[in-house]
Amino acid sequence: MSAVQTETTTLIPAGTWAVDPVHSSIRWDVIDLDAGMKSISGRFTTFEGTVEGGDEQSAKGVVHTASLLTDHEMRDGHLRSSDMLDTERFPEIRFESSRIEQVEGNRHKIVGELTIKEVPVVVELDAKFQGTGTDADGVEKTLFRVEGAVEWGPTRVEITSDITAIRQ
Amino acid sequence: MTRILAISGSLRERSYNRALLRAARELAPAGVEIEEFDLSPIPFYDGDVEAAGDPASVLALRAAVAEADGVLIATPEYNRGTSGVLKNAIDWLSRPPLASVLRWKPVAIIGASTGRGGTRRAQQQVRDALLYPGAIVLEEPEVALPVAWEHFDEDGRLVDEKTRHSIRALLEGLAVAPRAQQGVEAA
Repeated sequence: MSAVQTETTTLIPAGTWAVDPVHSSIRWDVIDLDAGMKSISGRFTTFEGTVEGGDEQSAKGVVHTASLLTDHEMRDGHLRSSDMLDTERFPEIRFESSRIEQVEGNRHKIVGELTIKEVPVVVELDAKFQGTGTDADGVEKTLFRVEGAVEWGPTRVEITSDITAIRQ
Repeated sequence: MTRILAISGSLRERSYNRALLRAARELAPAGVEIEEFDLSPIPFYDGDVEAAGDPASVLALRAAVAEADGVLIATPEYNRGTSGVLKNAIDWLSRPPLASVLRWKPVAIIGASTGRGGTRRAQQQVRDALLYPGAIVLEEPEVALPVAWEHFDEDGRLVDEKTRHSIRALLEGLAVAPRAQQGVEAA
């Protein structure tokens, strides 16, 4: 990092930014350390969210659970059923930050509530701010990656999300 | 006030395991309240029954576990395993998947048997069943009381000092565990 670099380059600039679902992804890996000993990777394709940049950063978003995909139709059906996410009864997974702290440089810690099947859980996510730029059409965009994990007993789900957000 | 829900896997009125839970009530540290939940009205787990709507007794059990800061389970040992009554209750409590009230719930397991094993095998089964939905099961002190009739008086009161001491230590552990589980899931 050069000495002249200002702090603003390590933060999402002030203002409201909306997640661009076409250029964003939410991916997850299930690691089951129980007797099942397996890993499954998948993603959600339908979600929305907004980010507030600047000194008072915040983030919130909604994932539509039925958009789950693991590239295996029967498994997807099972994961959407009442045996797992029960997507008919619980169509949304929600996240809302309670605080965002700058850890070092472009790395931030996001603390917030992740609500799965209407059970809210406090999670701590790692965020890496990638940068802000303007495309050929003059649209201002910002990029960041968010990583975190949730656990149910021996089952660990690691989440990686690459987000492109557009200035509103 | 820390609220502990006590559950016995044995339904018999004069069960040694229910007697252990009574001893726990008597030995509870200051600020710890122990309330027993009777498993006798819980029906057999059946996915069809569940799909039609959880029975009231199951909803009551789930609510009691959800509201408790910790759970104290006393298991008997039948044929080298836990009782069907207790396993069935855990199966109901593990539902719905990903939203079980057992997730992060601190649980301590105790048990008394008339044989020499002291319910160790049953306790291991109960532990395995609880860990999958994400309960936090205390490791020690172990309370596995063999040859139970030698350790209770005529009124069913636990008179074994070593076991009384262990139960008290376990309750102290259970009383502080709820504070720890309020933490954050690490990234």
